[in-house]
Amino acid sequence: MNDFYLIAKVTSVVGKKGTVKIISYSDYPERFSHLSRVYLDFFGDKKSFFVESVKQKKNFFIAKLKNFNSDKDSAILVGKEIFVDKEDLVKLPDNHFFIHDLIGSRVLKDDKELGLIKDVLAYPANDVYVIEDGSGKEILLPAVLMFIESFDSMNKILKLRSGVDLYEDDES
Amino acid sequence: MPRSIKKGPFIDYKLMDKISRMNENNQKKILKTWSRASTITPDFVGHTIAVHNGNKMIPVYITENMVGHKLGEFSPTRIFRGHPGTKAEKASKAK
Repeated sequence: MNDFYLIAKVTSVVGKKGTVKIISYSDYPERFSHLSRVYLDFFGDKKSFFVESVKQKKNFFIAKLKNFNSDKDSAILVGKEIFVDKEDLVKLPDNHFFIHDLIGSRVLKDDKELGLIKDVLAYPANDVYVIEDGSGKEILLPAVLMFIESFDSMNKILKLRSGVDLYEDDES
Repeated sequence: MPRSIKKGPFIDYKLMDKISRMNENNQKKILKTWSRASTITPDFVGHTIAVHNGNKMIPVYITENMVGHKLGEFSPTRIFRGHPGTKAEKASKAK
């Protein structure tokens, strides 16, 4: 079964020719310029649609889907979320990892398991991985290369560098 | 009104002491602090400091462009998590 990833939402119909306004949820809005196929949810089932054109306007996009040629046709799309399948996900630069890949990954330090990544929080300085160990205790780890050695998204394993200590024992 | 130059920037002395010791020993570990008002100085660069936000200790990796700011600026006390969406195409960058 295919996995689908949310990238945008249709907010309204624009004009009379079936174009719709979409807002992006993706971290990579430039991906919309070469989008060819998307999936929309109809009655709990993902239906495939071909994209004829996408234009960027300020902080939103105007898209035209194939076979939606009037404002009446496109009215059904309003409020629908737009998904892509795994093959159409953007190619990430080095040291960037998808949050959905990170969540649920095992975290290893010196071949010892610290726990599983439960969440990824975005903070002004850096992202923070929330790691939950077996006893339910949370460890917050900054997403910086000083701590991270490698991430294997296929096997869901995040390896931490061995030379760096985590939290100090005493508190001030 | 800005703080007087004569006094210099405010830095919690316990935190400064720990940073100095870590710099001397060339050590790297996450320091915990509640001192959100401490100013970041060049000595802090390259260290990771867990700054309390009233709920959790948020680890902040200090870089050069943070010098002169307060630690609290990087550990927000309120967070907007966005609108819920399942498996959105979001990425995390390891800096």
